[in-house]
Amino acid sequence: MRNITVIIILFLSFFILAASASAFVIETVIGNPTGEGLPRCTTLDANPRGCLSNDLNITVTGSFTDDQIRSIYNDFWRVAGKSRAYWELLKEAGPSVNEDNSLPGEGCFAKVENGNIYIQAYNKCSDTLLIHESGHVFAGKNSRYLIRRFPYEDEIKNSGAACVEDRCNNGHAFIKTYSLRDKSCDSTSNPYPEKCTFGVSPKGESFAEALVDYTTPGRIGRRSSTYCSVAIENYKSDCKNAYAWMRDNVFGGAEF
Amino acid sequence: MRKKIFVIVLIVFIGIVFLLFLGGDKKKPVKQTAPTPIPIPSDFDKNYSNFNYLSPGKSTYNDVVSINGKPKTSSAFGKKTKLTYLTPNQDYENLVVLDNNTVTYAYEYVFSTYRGVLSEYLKTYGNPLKLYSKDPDGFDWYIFLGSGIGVEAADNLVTRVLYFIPQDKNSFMTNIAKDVGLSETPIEEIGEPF
Repeated sequence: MRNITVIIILFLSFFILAASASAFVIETVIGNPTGEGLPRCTTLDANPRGCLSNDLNITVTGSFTDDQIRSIYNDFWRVAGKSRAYWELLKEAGPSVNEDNSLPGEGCFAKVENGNIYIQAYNKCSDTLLIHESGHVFAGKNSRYLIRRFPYEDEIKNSGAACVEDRCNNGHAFIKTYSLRDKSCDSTSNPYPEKCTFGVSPKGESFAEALVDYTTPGRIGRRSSTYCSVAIENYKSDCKNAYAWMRDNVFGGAEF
Repeated sequence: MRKKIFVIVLIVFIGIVFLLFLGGDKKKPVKQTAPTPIPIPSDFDKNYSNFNYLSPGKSTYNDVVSINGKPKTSSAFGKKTKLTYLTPNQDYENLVVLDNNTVTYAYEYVFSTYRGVLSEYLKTYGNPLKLYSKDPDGFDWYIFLGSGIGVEAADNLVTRVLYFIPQDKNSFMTNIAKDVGLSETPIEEIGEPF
């Protein structure tokens, strides 16, 4: 009888310790994801959809070719491969990337709705587009309260003309590589109704732009020749507040 | 005797397991004892507001100040008074609206899970009225009209809590939704060219 009691006690102790340890490991990985980024998928040539799904929790819909899906994987891997924190955020969010040729305008266009990405003319898009859109995915899903903690008024808006400007719009300050600054508006006042489009928010777009610009710490050229995007000469020093915030809160300290 | 010891040890371990896995980290939106104002922390994970102790329809200006401290700003519009309070992020301000010195509604921004998560509110208060924010950075709203509480949430994470006098939908849409910037239809989003 005593032996049985001892065995049961040992079994229960082992169970409690093992469960506590795994909870600790999960907390460590999810809560403070540092360390190596995503290893490149070894079956990318043969199974690009599987790589996107298994490595990044991303599904694709529409008539993307295998080459395009590999390119989508590479767009994300360029960042997730260096930052485990970004990789974990992306996996948690698990967005879909959907072909949508009904978006306004011609050529490359993208939007995020309900945490999923819709894209038109992917072949004509910059390889940084999806990283910018991933910022909207994190914001739209309120991943780890990032967008609510992003210090737009405190730090970003007053970063100086080398980083932020309100040219092209109605007085709202954006990180100036952002293209559609002239489309911004308040939800309550609408000083330029002919230009104003809901959804273009100085805070939301600066968050997404800060995220993608972080991955290019040197000179960043204009993103679009036909809209209000302006080059930033040295992102790391010109936008140091946004850079430091993204480094600490999104990229887990990894730098590019 | 050995059997008794065995049973006692077993009960203790089951108790420990129960406490470890079920009892530890639940955060329910429950009101407790009277609070004192909390200094604004730099740590977003910490609760910084006592708005959950307000009682719309009963609380007065003095109650608000007693519970949450002096407001950052106070402005009067006829019989109405609007009080704003700081949050840990300068982008956002909490708001209390009083009519005839009685709180009619108030909202507070939430930066972590200290006010619970959406599923807990749905379980506690039942079917909500679903509304949408006119703010392009806002999230969907879940309004529990009969309980006088609403939450803005995304993916189960609560980002704002609204406290108000229980009322019907028409009254809410007229008296509160318009002021807070809530709509029955979602805003249209646009794409971005690159």
